[in-house]
Amino acid sequence: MENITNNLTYLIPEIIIIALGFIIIGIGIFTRIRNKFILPFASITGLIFTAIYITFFFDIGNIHILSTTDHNQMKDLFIYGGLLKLDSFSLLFKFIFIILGIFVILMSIDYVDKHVNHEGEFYGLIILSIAGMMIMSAANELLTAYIGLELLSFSLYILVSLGNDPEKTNESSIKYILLGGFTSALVLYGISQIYTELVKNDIVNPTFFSSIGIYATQYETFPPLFMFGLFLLITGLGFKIAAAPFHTWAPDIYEGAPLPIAGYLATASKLAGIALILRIFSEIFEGSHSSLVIIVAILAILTMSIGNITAIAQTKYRRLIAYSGISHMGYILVGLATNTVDSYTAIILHSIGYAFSGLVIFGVLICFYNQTNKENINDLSGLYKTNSFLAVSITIALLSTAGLPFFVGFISKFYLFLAAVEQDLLWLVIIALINSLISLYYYLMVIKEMYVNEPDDVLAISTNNIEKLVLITSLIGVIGLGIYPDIIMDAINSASISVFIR
Amino acid sequence: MGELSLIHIQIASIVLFSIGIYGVLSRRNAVLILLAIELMLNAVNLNLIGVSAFLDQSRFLGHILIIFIITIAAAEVALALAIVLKLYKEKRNTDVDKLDVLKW
Repeated sequence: MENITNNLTYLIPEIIIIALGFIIIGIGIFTRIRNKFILPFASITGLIFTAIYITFFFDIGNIHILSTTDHNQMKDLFIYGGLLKLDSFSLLFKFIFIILGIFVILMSIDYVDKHVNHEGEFYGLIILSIAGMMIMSAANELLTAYIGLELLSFSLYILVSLGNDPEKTNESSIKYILLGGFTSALVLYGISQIYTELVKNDIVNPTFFSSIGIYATQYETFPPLFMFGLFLLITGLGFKIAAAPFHTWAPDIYEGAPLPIAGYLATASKLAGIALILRIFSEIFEGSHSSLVIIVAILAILTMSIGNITAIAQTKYRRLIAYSGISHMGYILVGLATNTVDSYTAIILHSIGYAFSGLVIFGVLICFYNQTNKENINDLSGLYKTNSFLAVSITIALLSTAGLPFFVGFISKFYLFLAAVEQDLLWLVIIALINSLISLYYYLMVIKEMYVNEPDDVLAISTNNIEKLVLITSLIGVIGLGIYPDIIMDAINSASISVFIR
Repeated sequence: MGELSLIHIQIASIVLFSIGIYGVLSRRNAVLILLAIELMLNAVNLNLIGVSAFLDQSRFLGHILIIFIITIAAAEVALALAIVLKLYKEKRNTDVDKLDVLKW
């Protein structure tokens, strides 16, 4: 009993966030607030408080987010008998999830005011989904990870169904929940197969990630039932991060969901999936490495190529961003196939950089959509003339995602591919580079549309101060990390070491 | 009739699971797809309880997993039915084939 209360102090961030979520939902349901700023600012105050708590006051051994890279000084903390693992990896990701949540809430104030009827649910469920992602990044056991995943997914199912276009929203929300339920059933069957195999081999704690690692080291090639379970697990995680061939939901859901939620799905939710994948695969890859590398490499090639090639044909900007996000998951799978500490560092940096660029892209698109209600790429024509700030912001973000120098996308892709080349995966890197070139084409098409073409109507598009604040802050992130990544490299290094070496 | 052993339960479980997958892929009604997903989840439960009862008698891990899975599945179905109801109110049917606005 004493143990439980002791452990509870380490869960204070999650507890604050879940309580905050329920308070916001309650305020939204039981009071009639007509001011559009009260709920979002209440949520943001709580989130900022939690972020500050995690950064400065959350003391577990020596670990802070900005801790040393010396693994001997790190003290990983297992709570609740090892169900949750607190190390610099989980702390870094928790911090980033909260930051992303704050930005998404700030971006969605105007959108919610115009298009969404259920403000309390909107902000409250975003906050609850942050709690789910925090559990996912700290989970050290299959069932805990699954519960975190479902907390995230359930919040997102409802958030997606709050869109403003009835026809599209109905279709996308029903697609999302049916496909999500189907894959979660597949994941559970995978978990039950893995549990069966581990119990047969008399391994203690058969659902822990570390026990799966112990099991995996015993075999050169995995027994078929274990492989089957692993396949189902990969399917579920691949669905979460929208890796091909489990990607088809992403563009449809982005199109029907409220635009800020599409941005949230593209950044935070994918990041949570990546965190869970890194945790699980760093253990499984201990054993028979080569047979799984091929699978992950094939998934990477499929994801990159399908994402990039399909993106060329898109006419709506949400679908374009969806496919470009899919291709980015392909680059991340290249890093996963490499499987070294360096590649893990590169994956974390790449996903953070991608998340910030994605925030800028969606921030600009939300401003644009709020005032024009247009969804096609050629509606963006002449954006430089109607609002140059928005045009320049989205250009920087697009060039960063394309991987041009001076932006974070270049540095992270460079690290990612360098790590892969060092592990003799040159063929994979060449395919990835070709894909990068293809992606440049459709990013430049969007940029050309904004700068070269004339606007359809000379309606000036305005931006308010909050939107400027969000965009400029994320742009500082994108450019600052591109020029001087060392600011965050210590934290990322210590995170990747703590997840990889343990 | 021989003694009931683990393999029988596992076969029953995989059969149930396959029927569930077939149902998800072939049914056109959203509610029936949900039922098929429930079938898959129950196949998982059957597998877990079998393994837990035959191989893992000293601990209750399988039982614990099942309690969580049943709870989560119930929540999921409640949510999904709410969304299906929303669809039905606007379109007057729940045929997933008729949802074809979003493509590509």
